[in-house]
This record gives sequence, C-alpha cells and structure tokens, in this order.
Amino acid sequence: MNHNQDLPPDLKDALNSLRAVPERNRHTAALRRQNYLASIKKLPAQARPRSFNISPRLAWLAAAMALVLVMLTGTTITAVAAQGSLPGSLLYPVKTSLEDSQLALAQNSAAQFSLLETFTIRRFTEMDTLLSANTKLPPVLADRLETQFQRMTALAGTMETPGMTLALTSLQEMLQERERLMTASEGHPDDPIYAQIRQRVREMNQLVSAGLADPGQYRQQFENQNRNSSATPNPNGTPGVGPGPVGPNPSITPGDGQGPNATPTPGNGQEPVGPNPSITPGDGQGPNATSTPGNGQGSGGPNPSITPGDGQGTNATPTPGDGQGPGGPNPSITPGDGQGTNATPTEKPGATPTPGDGHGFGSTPTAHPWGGKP
Amino acid sequence: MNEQTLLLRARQFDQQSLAEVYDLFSPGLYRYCYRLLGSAPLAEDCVAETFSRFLQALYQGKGPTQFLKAYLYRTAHNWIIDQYRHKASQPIPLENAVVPVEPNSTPQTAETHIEQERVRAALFQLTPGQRQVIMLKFLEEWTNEEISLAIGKPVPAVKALQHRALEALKRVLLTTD
Repeated sequence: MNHNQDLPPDLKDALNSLRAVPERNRHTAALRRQNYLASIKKLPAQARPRSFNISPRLAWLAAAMALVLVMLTGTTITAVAAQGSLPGSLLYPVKTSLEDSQLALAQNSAAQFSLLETFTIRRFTEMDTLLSANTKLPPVLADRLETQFQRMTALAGTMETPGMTLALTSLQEMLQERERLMTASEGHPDDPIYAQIRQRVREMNQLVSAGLADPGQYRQQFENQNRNSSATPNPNGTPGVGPGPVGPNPSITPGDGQGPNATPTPGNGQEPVGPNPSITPGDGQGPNATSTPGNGQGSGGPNPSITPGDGQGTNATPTPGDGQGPGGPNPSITPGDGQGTNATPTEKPGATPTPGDGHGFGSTPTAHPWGGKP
Repeated sequence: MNEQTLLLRARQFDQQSLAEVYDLFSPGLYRYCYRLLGSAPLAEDCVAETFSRFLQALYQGKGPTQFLKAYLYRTAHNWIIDQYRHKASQPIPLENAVVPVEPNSTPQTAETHIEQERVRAALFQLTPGQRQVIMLKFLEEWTNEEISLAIGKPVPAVKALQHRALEALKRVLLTTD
C-alpha cells in the first residue's frame, strides 16, 4: 500500500530521499544473527517462571518474615493453651505471667482489684478442678492465692472510703461463699495445702469484715504499713502486704508495735505465740534469718486476758495495746519473724514475753501465713 | 506460521521460533533504523539491541503477548530516541559538524546524502510520536490500525497525530530551505 498520495508534494520528495537504504553488509548481518542465536541457546537454561525469580535479599527477607510469623503464632498458641493450664503444669507460669501483665496494664486501683478478684476466683476454680481429679494441691496454688489476697487487701487500703467499701463488700461476698463451700464439704483432710487455704480464707474473711466495720482503722493500718515499708525497704520488693489476720476478738489490741529499727527485747511479744503460751520468751530474733525487715506488726494472742505486749516501736513508749491489730492463732506461722534487719537484740532480763500470735503483717514470704516455703 | 503463533512459541523459548522471529523482522527493522539513523553500524546496533530487549523481556516473563511486529518497532524506536538524547547531550566537535561524505562518492550521491541528513534533522525536530507516525506511515507503509498498535493510541488519534506531524515537518523543512 502506497500512502504517498496522502503526502503534500513538497514533502513527498523529501521523505522519498530516505526510502533508499544501502544494502546491508551480509557479513555483519550474519555475525549479528549468530550472536542472537547464541543468546537464544543460553536462554532455556536460564529461563524460568517470573514468580520464582527472587533475589537472595528478598529470599532472606521472606525467611525472616516467616520466622517472625511462626514465633508470633507460636506465642499466641502457647498463651491460649496456657489459659487452660492448672497449677503444677508446665504452662502454668505462662498463665500467671499473663495475669501479671494484665494487672500491670490496669489503669487504676479499682481495675486492678477487679482483676485480682477474677484471678482469685480462677484460683478457686483451679483448686476445685484439681481436687475433683484427686490431685494433691501444689504449694504454688496457695502461694499465688496468698499473693493475690495481699495485693487485694493492700489495694483496698489505698482507696477512698466509698471505693474501699465497695471493693471489700465484693471481696467479702466471694470469700464468704468460698468459706461456706469449704466448710460444708468435709474437705480433704489429707491435703495440707487445702487446709491452709481454708484457714486463710477464714482469716481473710475476718479481716475484710473488720475493714467494713471500721474503714478508717483499716486504712490506718495500711498507712502505717506503707510508712514502715518506706522506712525499711523490703528487699524482696513484695508489694504492700496486708495486715495480719484478725484474731477472734478484734477489740483486743495487744501487740508489740515494733518499729522497723526497733531494738528487740526479749519477751516483747514478737515471738510466736499463739496457742502455746509456754513458749520460751523470744529474743527478738526469729529463727528465720530472712525475716522481713521492719514490719514488726505482730499482734497479740487470741486470749483477751493476755497481757498486752510491751511495745517496742522506735522511740516509742511501749503502750499496751498499740499493736496493729490482733492476730489470730496460727501455729503454722514462722515464729519470731517480723524483726527489723537492723535490730540489735539486747538482753532485757526479767522481761516477760507476751505471747503474741506471730501473725506479722510481713510482706515477704517469710511472713507467709501458710507456713509454706519461705 | 502466522505472527501470533510464532509469538506463542517464542514465549515458550522455542529456539526455532525465536530464530524465525529474527529472520522475519530484522531486515525491516534494519531499514527502519537506518532511515532514521543514517548509519549502518548504528542500525545494526539498533536491531541487535531490539532483539536483545525482546529476549530479556521474555526471560523476565514480560514482553508482548500479541502484536509482535508493533512491539519490535516500538522497542527500536525507543532505542533510537535514547541514542538521539545521548548524542544531543554531548558537544559535537567542529570537524564532525560537517556532514561526512564518502571519498569516492559522486556529486549526485553526495547531494542525496546531504538531502537525507536534512530530512533526518527535520524529523528529529518533531515529537517522537509525530516522527514515528511519519516513518511508519510513509516509509514503512503501515496502515493506521498497525500504527495505532505500535504507538498505543486509537486510530483517530493516529490520524490527528499524522496531520500535525506533516504540518510540523513541512514547517521545519521550509524554514531550513
């Protein structure tokens, strides 16, 4: 087809001058063709689908992403699996760590308290599950429960009265229900952990009832406690600690009121006590060398007629009944703890030790009311 | 074997089909390149580079799936534009500014050569699209439909482009006369 007819005459000649092309150099053309054919022959070996044409850097990136994905997926699966784990199982620490993380993320005391309540119910459920399977309760369950109790009572002590009342009421309902259940059933007499938990629930119930009856005094206890804690740092860093269990007669306040730097004196009522008044007067140093420094919140024994403690607070004039609330008898308590670390025992002949109950407000495992591992 | 079948086989790296593609299109491509470049070695380079890019595109899973001829001429045209830009960016020494004339050429061939260079210079003053339309339409004698495939524009746009290209070429050639 000749399109030159469309061309204006003055352009036709001009463009036609380009039409003639000299003959192509055959040798050069053949050489170029050979080169082309040679490159074709290389091609099939190299040719591959585009989707597989991945550079090494991209391959590394893909591998790294896959690894991260696997790790994330694995972590998620582990976390989900841990939710159903029971105390003593391998994944149980994962479960409790997740709970701790949740607590750390809670925005205020009320939210933390609510979470702790949920976790406490979870502990009781775990206990029921283990018991129904005729499995012995592991100490970790009691430890965890105690930590939660302590944190809840301490948190309630930091709240304003309305919030505290609300929190303690809620806690009381839960504890009463649990105590009722544990009392109704004969329990598991062979299981010492079960007995300890039952005892501790009862004590917590009493403490909460006392707190509801007199919120001011309850808060005061924690304020004193916080003061003591700030004066004598707790090397274990355990938060706050709740007050010692309330004795059978809350109105009695025999105690020694030992301050953190108090100089223990024999027979100051710090010694273990409880049901065995014939115990040798303590020297102020419990056998447990790692006793909580400075909490000194021991209280009097369960006998209302007992002589009030001698009160060894720092610079304080011992006054009968200035202790931090009566403790209940708990023979399992480690005797003689709750002494300040800087305490220097001095002999005080003739002092008559007052049988205390040894229920310190201690914030460390040594003051562990379960009498479990320190 | 028609062009589409040839292309399909070429895409499967059939060596014979790839060789056929070269034999079928390289002569026309050489002419096209020579007419625009006015140099046999450059035209050979243009053809070689066009087919090299074609093979590379196939290797990468790209390249044409249809209209092979349009693809090859478009590739050649792009290479020429690149060459022209590269050449234009370099200063031309004074001795090279004179159009080279072969030593044994007659006055007539020398005159033809000078005219060719004048027209080429005029063509390179057009836009790439205008130049491509004029080359394909009036020297390679393609239809408007074929040109529309090569430049990727509809036929009416090709016609409009052709009209503007002729007007521009006329203006340039008359100005240089």
